[in-house]
Amino acid sequence: MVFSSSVFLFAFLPAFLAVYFLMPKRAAKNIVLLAFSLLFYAWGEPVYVWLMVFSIGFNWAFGFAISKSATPPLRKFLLVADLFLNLLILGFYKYQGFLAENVNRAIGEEFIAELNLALPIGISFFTLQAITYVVDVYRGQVKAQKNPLYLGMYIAMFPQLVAGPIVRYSDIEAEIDNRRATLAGFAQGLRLFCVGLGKKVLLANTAGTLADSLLPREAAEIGFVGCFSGVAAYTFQIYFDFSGYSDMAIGLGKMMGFDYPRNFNYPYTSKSATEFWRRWHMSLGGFFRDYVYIPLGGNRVSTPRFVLNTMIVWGLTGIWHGAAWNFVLWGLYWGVLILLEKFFIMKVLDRLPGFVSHIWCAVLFFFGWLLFAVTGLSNVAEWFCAMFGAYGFTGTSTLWELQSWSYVSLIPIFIVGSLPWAPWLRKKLQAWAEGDPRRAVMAAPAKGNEAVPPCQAELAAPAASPARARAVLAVNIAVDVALLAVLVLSAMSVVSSSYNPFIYFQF
Amino acid sequence: MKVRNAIVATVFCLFLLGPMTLWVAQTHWKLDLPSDLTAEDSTYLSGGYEEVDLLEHFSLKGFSAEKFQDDLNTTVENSIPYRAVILLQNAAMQRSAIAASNALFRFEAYPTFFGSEQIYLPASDALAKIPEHAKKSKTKSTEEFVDGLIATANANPDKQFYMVVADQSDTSNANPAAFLVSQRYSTDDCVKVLERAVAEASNVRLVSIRYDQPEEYYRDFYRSDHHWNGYGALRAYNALQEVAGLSNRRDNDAETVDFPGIITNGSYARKGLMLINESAREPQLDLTGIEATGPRIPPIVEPDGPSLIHDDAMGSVFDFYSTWYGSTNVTADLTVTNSTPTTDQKALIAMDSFGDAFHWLVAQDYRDSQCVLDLKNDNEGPETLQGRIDDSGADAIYFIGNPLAYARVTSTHPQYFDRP
Repeated sequence: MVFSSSVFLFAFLPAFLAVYFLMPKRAAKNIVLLAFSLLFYAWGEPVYVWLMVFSIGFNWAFGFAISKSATPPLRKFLLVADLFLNLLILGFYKYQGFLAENVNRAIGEEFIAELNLALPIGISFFTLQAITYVVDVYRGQVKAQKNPLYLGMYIAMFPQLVAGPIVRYSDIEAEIDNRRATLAGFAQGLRLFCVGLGKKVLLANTAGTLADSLLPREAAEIGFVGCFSGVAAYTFQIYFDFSGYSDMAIGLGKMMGFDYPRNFNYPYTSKSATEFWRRWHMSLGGFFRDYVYIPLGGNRVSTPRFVLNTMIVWGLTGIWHGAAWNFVLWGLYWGVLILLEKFFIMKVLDRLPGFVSHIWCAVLFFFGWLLFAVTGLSNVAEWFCAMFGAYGFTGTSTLWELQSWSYVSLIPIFIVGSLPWAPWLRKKLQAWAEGDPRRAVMAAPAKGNEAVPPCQAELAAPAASPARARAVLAVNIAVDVALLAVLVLSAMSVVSSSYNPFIYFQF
Repeated sequence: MKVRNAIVATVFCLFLLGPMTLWVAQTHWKLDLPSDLTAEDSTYLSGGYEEVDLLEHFSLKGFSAEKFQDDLNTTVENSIPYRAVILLQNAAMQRSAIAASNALFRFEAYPTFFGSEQIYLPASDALAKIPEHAKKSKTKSTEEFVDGLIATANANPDKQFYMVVADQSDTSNANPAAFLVSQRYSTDDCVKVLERAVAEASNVRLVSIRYDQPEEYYRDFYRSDHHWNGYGALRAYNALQEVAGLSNRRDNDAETVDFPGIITNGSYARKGLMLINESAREPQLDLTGIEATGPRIPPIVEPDGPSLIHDDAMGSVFDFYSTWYGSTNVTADLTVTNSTPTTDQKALIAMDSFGDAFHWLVAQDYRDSQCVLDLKNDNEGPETLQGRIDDSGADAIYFIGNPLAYARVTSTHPQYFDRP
């Protein structure tokens, strides 16, 4: 099940909210959340729910055993065993086909059978979440969860199950037993949910229509315009899709009283590859930093080892995204760029005007998405050449049939949607209302890892005048009306996406 | 802030609860809801809706087989109020964005929504389909049809074979988008291939009226449907009479049948989610002595005029062509008899729904006409053309269809031209 479907919006979500908030006690709410999460998970692939239950069971058992064990070697053995089991499951379901294909190709015969397994939904996310739990228990950073149902609730929690953010157990440990669902939190969460739904349905899906029509085609067929607009459309699609889904997850969490970490912070405003990855899929970057990079020695090692550690992390980041060489190459691409920036380019970038750095970063993520989106390395090479005119302006197609032109009016909307104008305006408004000229001047896009800001302007100090307070109220009401309009428009789009005229009438 | 939060939360929850409440009201409280609030609302657009019993698969077994999920999905879809308005407005919003983009490019055609295969032609206020690609593969499969037809025609030298090619918008030169695409497959390409059959078999004839200008085209074709209207069929029939040397003296265009108050939309409107709402006008065919029998008798032979499939609040009627000329049953196997024929022969008419209007004209010349509608959906009749000919005892065999139908025969019916 996906959030942007009629059955989620009009059946699952209202049913869940009704049952959840009818439960008087925290324990009952937790059980309801677990039950609905398992139902959510089982919806599309019922058989894999047992895999989820197994994962919950053994991670709970290992976590509990580690916490009860006083012997360091035994603790380490239990940790390694748990990690092995988690990675074995992930590797089997996600990489079996990739491994078989490459091994068989290398030795020229079918040495490993390709099982063509369906990928269990969210396995990449819930496996990492389970690992953070067990590792943190081993490190003594969190207490082992005694109740397997509560751990199950954490691992299977439906808001972030499918597409993140990767919530560490430590992020919500306290909230499992002591969270407060308030009207303000509920309203804040649903506002964020509307923002995310709008990003996903209205922006990502629209950009995706163009990307999906161009990306499977050959570069010679679509030329410069087709390849450029295909990657550009994908650039917007993946951002709005992924960040929209994260916003919806964080919003749903807030409605229940959970504070999930922020996952995206306007990555397309970055000035370098290094900054980009501090703003893009922040929970994944944090995971690899704390559970791979630092255990490998981090940057407190020799330069060759540092380079090796960095490339290991980025190689893993790449292959985590998918079982194909494209993704490995994409990960290594970012690793190399980050190393180049650290040792050489950053010194130059720091001296250049800001807009040059923005262009540098835009070129990097644009070609990065080319590696990510176009399947097959030879296709990637052809698309790369097409970007420099190797197949003419429109290849063997005409401009009209590429259809890229029909999206031109949406480009400003996509660009504006990727920029932090909303938090900037909100800070301006707050500073103006509070009569703080210093803050108004300094108001700037937020940076770094922080909680998702609210969708409303909230004054920290009394307003400078009643008129200014009324102005803030009017803006907040307008924002609410706009968000509810986005909800309605998104729902219309969701309903339309399922339109399928009866074949009977097609002739 | 508190009041605002409460209002926002309430509106949000009521919005989410809407479809479920309507479903409960209809199925459990047995309320007779206005059609706008039920699945009936969009049936005129989608062609129907699937009724499901949610309890039928409400079991672990049903869930494991994902049947319950499908049922719930359908139930939710059926419970969306104002679904037709939602579908049309959502497409209209996307079309506005596309039209705004087109202001820069000034193309003569643009998609009815993002990803749509239907295109809007502003100058003609009409809908068409994006022109067909894959010229090579379609040419090749049409050549296979020609090979089969030549073999069958040569094996039946006492019978006449006619091919009538309808200039459907996706292959017509009258579609302004025809010259905006590369590698397109056109009616001209199809006719060029079919001409070989005429050259290599003396008992094969070919008729095709092709159009170059949209104004001319939309006199003979509906503006929101892929079919020709009665005037298009009549024009092709007149050309056929000339080619075949037939001498039907009936006056099929003496009067025009108007349908006051009825505005129609066709398959392009349905798939393109854009209503054109055109007025229907058809020639009054002279059907004296002609009767039809079969699984679904078309309403044209009923004296009171057509029976309409849907007369919704907006006054739109979909698929007027099918309703009027009668191929609503896509696998209809009709027999049309004529008590005052110009010949004592029998005809076999096959291929696609363009034949719906045409067979009433062809039937004027024959004592008995067997109509196979639609060949691509025909899984029940004899599997080979020769079998059909032998079974019907036909003296003349007609193929009436659009260019893609000719290209499709040997793939949907690989055995069609097999000889006994």
